[in-house]
Amino acid sequence: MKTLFQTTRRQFGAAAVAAAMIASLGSTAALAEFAHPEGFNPDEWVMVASVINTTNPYMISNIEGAEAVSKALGIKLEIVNSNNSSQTSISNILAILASGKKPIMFVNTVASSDAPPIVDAVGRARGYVSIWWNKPDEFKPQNVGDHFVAFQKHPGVESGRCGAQALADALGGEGSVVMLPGVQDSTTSQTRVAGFRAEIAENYPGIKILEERPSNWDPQLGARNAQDLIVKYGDEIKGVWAADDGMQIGAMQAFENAGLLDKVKFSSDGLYPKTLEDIISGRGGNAIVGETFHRGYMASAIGLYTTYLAASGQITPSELPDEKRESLFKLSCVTPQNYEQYLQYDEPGAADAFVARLVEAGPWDTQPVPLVGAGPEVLPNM
Amino acid sequence: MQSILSRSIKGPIGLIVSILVLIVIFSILNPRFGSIENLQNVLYQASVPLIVVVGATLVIQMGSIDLSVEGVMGASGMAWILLSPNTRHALDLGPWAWVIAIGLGLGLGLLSGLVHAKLKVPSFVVTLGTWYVGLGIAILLYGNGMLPSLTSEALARWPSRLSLGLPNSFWLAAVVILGGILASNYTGFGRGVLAVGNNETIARGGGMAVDRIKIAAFTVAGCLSGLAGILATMQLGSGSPDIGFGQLFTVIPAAVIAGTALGGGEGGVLRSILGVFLLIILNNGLVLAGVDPDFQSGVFGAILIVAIVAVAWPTRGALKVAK
Amino acid sequence: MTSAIPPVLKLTNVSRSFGKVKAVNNVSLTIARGEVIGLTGENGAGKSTLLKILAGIERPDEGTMEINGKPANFRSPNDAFRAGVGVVHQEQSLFTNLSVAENIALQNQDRSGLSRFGIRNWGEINRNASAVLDKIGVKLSPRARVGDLSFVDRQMVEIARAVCVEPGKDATPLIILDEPTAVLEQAEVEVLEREIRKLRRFASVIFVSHRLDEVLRICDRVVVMRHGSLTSDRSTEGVTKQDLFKAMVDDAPVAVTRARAATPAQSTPAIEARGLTVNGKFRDISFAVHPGRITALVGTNGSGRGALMRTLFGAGKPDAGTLLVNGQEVSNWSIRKAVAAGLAYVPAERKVEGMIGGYSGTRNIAMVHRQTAMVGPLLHPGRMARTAQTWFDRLDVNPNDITQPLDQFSGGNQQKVVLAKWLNSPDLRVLMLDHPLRGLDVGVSQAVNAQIREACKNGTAVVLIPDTIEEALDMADEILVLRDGQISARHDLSSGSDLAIKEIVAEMI
Repeated sequence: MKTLFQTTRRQFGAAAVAAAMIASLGSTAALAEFAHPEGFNPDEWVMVASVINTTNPYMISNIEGAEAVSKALGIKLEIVNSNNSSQTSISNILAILASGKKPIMFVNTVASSDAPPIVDAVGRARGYVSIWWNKPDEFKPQNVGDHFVAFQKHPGVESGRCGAQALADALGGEGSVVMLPGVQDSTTSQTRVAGFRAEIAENYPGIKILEERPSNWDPQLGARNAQDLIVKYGDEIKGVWAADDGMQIGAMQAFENAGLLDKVKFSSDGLYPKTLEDIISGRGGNAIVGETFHRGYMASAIGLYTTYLAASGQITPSELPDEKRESLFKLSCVTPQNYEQYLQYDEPGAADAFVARLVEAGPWDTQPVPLVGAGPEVLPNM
Repeated sequence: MQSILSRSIKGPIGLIVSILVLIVIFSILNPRFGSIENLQNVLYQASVPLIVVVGATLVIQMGSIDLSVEGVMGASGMAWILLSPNTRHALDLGPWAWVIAIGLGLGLGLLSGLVHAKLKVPSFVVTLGTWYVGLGIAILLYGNGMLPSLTSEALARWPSRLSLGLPNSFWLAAVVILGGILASNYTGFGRGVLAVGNNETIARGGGMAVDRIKIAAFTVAGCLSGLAGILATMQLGSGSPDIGFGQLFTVIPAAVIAGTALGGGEGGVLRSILGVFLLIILNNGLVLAGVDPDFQSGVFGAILIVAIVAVAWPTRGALKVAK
Repeated sequence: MTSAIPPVLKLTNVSRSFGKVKAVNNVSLTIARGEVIGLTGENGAGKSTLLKILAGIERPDEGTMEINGKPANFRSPNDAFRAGVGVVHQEQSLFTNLSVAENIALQNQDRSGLSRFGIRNWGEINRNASAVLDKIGVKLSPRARVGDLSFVDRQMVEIARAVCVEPGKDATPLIILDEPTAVLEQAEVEVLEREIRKLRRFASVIFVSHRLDEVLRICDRVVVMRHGSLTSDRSTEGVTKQDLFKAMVDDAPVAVTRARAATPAQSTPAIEARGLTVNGKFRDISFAVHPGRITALVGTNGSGRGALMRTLFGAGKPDAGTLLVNGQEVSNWSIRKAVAAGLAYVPAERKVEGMIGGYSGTRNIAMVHRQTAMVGPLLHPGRMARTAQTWFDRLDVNPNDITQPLDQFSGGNQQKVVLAKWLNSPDLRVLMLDHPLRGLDVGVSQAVNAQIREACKNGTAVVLIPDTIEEALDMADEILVLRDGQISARHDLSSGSDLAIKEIVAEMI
């Protein structure tokens, strides 16, 4: 894990330059009529993107990526809103599958256990599916069949380590911090927490973790828990790590209200636009010291495009190496020093540009999120 | 006022005792629990549910239920922030942002009330519908753009700023509570709500404007959910369609724990407020006491059950029917 | 316009039909100022519909109505109220969660001073209620919560609310009392009688009751309805109960007087209390009821007899004393155990405790004793229906439809079904009845009493809380008089002694 991390850091500069170059080329490519391989009739297919809800910015970005792929490939898109419920998710997906067209599907699962029934249903509908973020570890695409094209995610441990390094470095390796995990039983939160704790334990003996308060990915709960922690520990808290930017936004508001924002450092995951803004403005005396970069539209675009390649016969999943069936995509560590490289990915049209490059380079080699390893993710020994 | 106070206090003696016991225990576990700072913290955290619970109590007293709280909060909160100085665009309507956002809540409440009273659709179903209508409005307003956050320092800091030692959020809630108590005890509307909740048939037979009372109660609840949505948005400093997340299951249990029977006719605003404080203090105390997150849900539930038993103890009886 | 004072009420040829049924058929009636009219008739004779027309709840299909000389076309109960018609309903129509004063005020919303700019003036509301309660001579706190009051007190609040009517100068209010005595005790009926005498000084009264002796005692004139029509309208002077009875029913049934059961020498009492005490309700109660005998508990409303009966049935825990059922001492007594031991209880509040209104007769009857309808662990719908049909036939429940929800039946027929539910027990040892005849007409009352006697003949012990002392004298083998939670007298009627009502009343108070 450690070595992987070091490579990712070194590759930063090169990747950014390459990305910028490809981005300028991309926009023209997308305008042209897409050339499907012989024998693939796009009218027989429907693209489906299933998201957990339609209120979270990350999910909205998922939808944006799916729309960009749909536009580029000229295949009709259906969005499934799971309303935070596995039940709703599965029944909505089944309803779309019943429509008769073969699905090319991207699913951001509500819970790990949703993956098997969804994959099974897609198989019966003679479609193809890629799943992002959550599935049971033992449920492997390689063992299921070609219709389960791939399981893909960004490494959570990596995210936790990024945040830990940035926070601990900013504190000079000394001081007490609190953690705000997401939903307690979510794999994503658990891997990020494990990464954070492992990095601190291995490399920063001077950092003390005071407490962990799961805040359910909810900004308001993040704020409330932060308030309670302020009362409990006062100015003893020198740093705050949150498992995503939503909770960090809440926590920062709580520390600001308490007049402590400029005495505390924050790190988190996701580099939300609001977070980017705070980094740029140097809010709270440059309170935000570390972030990770990935975008929802990149996840859905990679997922849908991989699936499309399988559906159109351009790849045969069973012949792919393991890391392309169960994949970890790169997660970049962002600091106040290098954030500028990532501004381009939030420009208007960035999703379309990303899809254009994706089509050009294939699903595993597109910057800034190329394939970096094979899953499942191994939690560090603690 | 004297008689109303004594009448209202007589019932929830178990509730008050439960809260006091919790305060004592938590203060022993962590002396900071009893600090002024934590008092301000608790009042700040309680203010949003306090505002919502006033409207919810009126509706529950009537024997109906309002599930639309979270959707209405999302719609009003989002409307308000987009019309106030924010990072999305320069539009700033000032006080009109409040009027429009609360008006949106009013409209949604009015819709619930009209459909419920005139078309005789159970309130459970109607307000489930308005919940999603509200959420839908919030999502449409939110669109695909970036998270809108408040750019006005004054607005963002207002809820936590102290006046007379207590946060402004709480003062806002206190005004709403006072209004709720007055409306409940001193207006035909408030008394009508209780009468309808006790026996709608008699109320109709006695010539009361039952439909008007029902519509009014839902409208008031809608306005208050809207106001709560604005306050929550201000507290967070950013808008989100999910701003009301979790409020419904704070507010309804709070009212019911405090003796506002879901069947209607019983309970009161003052009691429900104690219910909200019980829940907020319990949560806050568990964090301050350092209960392990893995156990917090379980401990929260267990203490809640003990507290509820204490609340219900004086009214138990062999033939009392609990539903 | 003549100078003569117009009558308070003048109905001319009023009719009201529901479907094919003429509930009120061509009724003409005039009531003068200060007159007290008794209105009686069997259940379903049309009294309720006539009252609803007067109260503005129903509108007549034909005919005219004048109140205080002015034509009255009521569109709502409020119209009737404003015109000066105040109704004390048969069904309680008070908000139990509100105070006495507020219940009085809610009927009086447009009365000035009770609220100012839409804000309630509690001081004025309470003062107004005090004044009204004083006017009718009732001692009740206006601040008391109605739910905490006894039946009698609630009745007084209802009367107070009706009396609030102030229709204006030269107009006389019309107060309608719809079976006010049905839920009252003997002593309280006397209070009510005094009340009505006071009312006539400023109002006219329609007094609806099944109890013919009360009607004859209280009223100046009595009107009898049968099948929607008036069959008799005459002064109470010289009228006998028998005369009224003939006007009420088609063929007068012969009153059956039961032969008293003798004290059995050796049998084990079905139920026996020894020094039974519930603090604050009753103390040191000892008595035994043998199979085949009827014991009546007589007393005023606060005498503790209702609580005693509930304790016998396991609905409350005794603080001291022992209870023996079928000769066995019981501990941890509960309703469940009581039912298993063959006890049955017909509660006074039939609609609240005795039945499930939305359920059919079949389901109500199968609620407690369903052994006959079971096939293994499952209920057999056919057998359930057959059992219910048997009881409907035997008790002559009308309409004879076992599938109809019970709340669509009249009170008398509901009571028959409640009774059937318990009589369906395969081994009924003790039948306890709290005011079983409350609100029932003569015919149904006799049917219910016949069933009680039948059960008794089959070896069931009966404990009865009667509405009237007459009922006790008619039914019981033994009368226990309770006063302030203690037994003040015992009368064994099987010895054939002639007991005077006056004597018992003296022991009650």
